[in-house]
Amino acid sequence: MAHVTLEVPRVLRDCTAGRAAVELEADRLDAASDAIRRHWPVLATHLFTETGELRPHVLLLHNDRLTRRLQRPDVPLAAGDRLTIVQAVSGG
Amino acid sequence: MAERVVLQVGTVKGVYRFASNGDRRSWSVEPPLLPEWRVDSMLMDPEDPDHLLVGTSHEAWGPTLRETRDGGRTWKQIPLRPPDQPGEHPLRCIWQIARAPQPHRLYAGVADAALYVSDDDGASWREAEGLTRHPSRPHWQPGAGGLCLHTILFDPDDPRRMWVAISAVGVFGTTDGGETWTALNQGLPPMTMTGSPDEDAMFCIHKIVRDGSRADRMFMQFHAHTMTPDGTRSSGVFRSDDAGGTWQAIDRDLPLKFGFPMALSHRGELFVMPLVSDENRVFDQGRPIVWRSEDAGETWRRLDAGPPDEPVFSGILRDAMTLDAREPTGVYAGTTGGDVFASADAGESWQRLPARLPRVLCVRAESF
Repeated sequence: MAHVTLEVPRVLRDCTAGRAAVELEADRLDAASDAIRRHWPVLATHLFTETGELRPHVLLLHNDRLTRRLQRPDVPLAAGDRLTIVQAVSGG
Repeated sequence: MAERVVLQVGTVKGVYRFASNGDRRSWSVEPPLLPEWRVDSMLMDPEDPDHLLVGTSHEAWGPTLRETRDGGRTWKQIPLRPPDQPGEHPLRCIWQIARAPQPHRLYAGVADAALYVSDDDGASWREAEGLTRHPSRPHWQPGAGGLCLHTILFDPDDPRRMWVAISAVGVFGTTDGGETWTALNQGLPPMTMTGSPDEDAMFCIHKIVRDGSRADRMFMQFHAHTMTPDGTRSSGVFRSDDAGGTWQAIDRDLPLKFGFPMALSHRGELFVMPLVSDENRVFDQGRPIVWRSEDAGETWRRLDAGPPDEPVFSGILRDAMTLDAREPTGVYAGTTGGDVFASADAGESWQRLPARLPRVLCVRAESF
C-alpha cells in the first residue's frame, strides 16, 4: 500500500477534525476513494454522489493533474503522491 | 415575561442571529455562522438558544444536517444518508426539520421528495419509506424550487396522524404513523401544467399550517395559477375543516392570491404575504404587504410591512415568515433581497431590522 496525502479545502476541514491534509493508504485511485469513504465518511458525503461518482462541481487532482481526464479508476498511486480536493471553477 | 427573543435567519450564505430584549424594538445582529453554506432549514430548541439544527447545502459539496450546542462555535455534521448507502432518489437539499410529539423524534423533509425520521434527537436518520412507496410517486413532478417536501405537520394528541406537503405534488396524510399515506387535495384546482398525469399528484402546495386549538382545521397557501388563456387565475388561499379531507377557498377579499409563506399564531391569527403572480414573484409595486385574518379567512386586514419612503422590489420564500409566541404576536419576514421586517404587535407596525443580508431562505424565532 502506498502512503498518499489527501489535501482538504478549508470549507470541508470540519470533516477532518480541522486538518488541512490527511494520510491515506491506497495503491490505486479507486482504492483511495474507498479509503476516503471508510475513514472519512462525512467528507465522502460532500465528494461523491449516491452512485459513487464525484459530484459534478468537485475535482480531485492527482499530483496537480485532473483525475477526471485519467479516464480509468485503476490509476496507480505511489508513496508520497498528493490528492487534492478542489471545487471546480464554474458559473458566470 | 420573556427576557429575550432570538431570531435565526437562514440565507444563501449562512445563518444570522438577531436578539432583542423583551420590547422587541431594539435588535442586535451577530456575524454569520456557516457563511460558506446555504442554510435551507432550521430547527431551534425552545429550551436552549445555543442549540440549533440546520439543513445546509452547497452547489458543489451537497447537503448535510448540522448541529451546534454552543451557539455556533462548534458544529457537528450529520449526513441523513451514509455515502455507502445509496437511496432510490438523489438527496439535494434538506427543506424542513420538525420535532414530532414523540420524545426524541425528529422528521426531515428533503428534495427529491422524501421524509426522513430520527428517534435519537437527530443523531441518526432513516428514510420513512411509507411515503415514497405511495403509488403516485413515479408521477411526482418538481416545481421551480425542485421536488421538495417542505412542510411537516403533526397532531400532538395523536402521534400516528401527520401531514406533509410536496411541491408540485400535493398534501399527503397518514393516520398509522407513516406506514400508509393518502393524497388530500380535494377542492384544490388541479394543475395539469405540472406535467403529472396522476390526479393525486398535480397540486403545487406552497405552505400549510395547522390550528393547534382546533384539531382538524388547516390553512394552505397554494400556487394560484393562470387557468385560461385570458388570464383567469385560480384561488390561492384555502382552509380545511376536516384535516385536509376537503379544501375551500378563503381568498375572496385578497387582491393577490399567489404567495409562498403562511403563519398561524396560537391565538388564531393567520398571516400571508402575497406576491404579484407566478410570472412575477415580487411584492406588488415594491410594497411588502402582510394580510392578517382573525376569523379563519372570512375577512382580511391589510398591513404595510415595508418602509413608507422606499420601495422594496423583492419577494419572499415559503419558510421566510415566522411568528413568536409572545403577546401580542411578533411577526418576522425575511425577503429575497435580504431585508428582515419585524412587527411586535401582530403586524400593526413594522421595522426593518438593522442589517442587509444575503437572500433569505428561512426564519425562526423563540423566546427565552
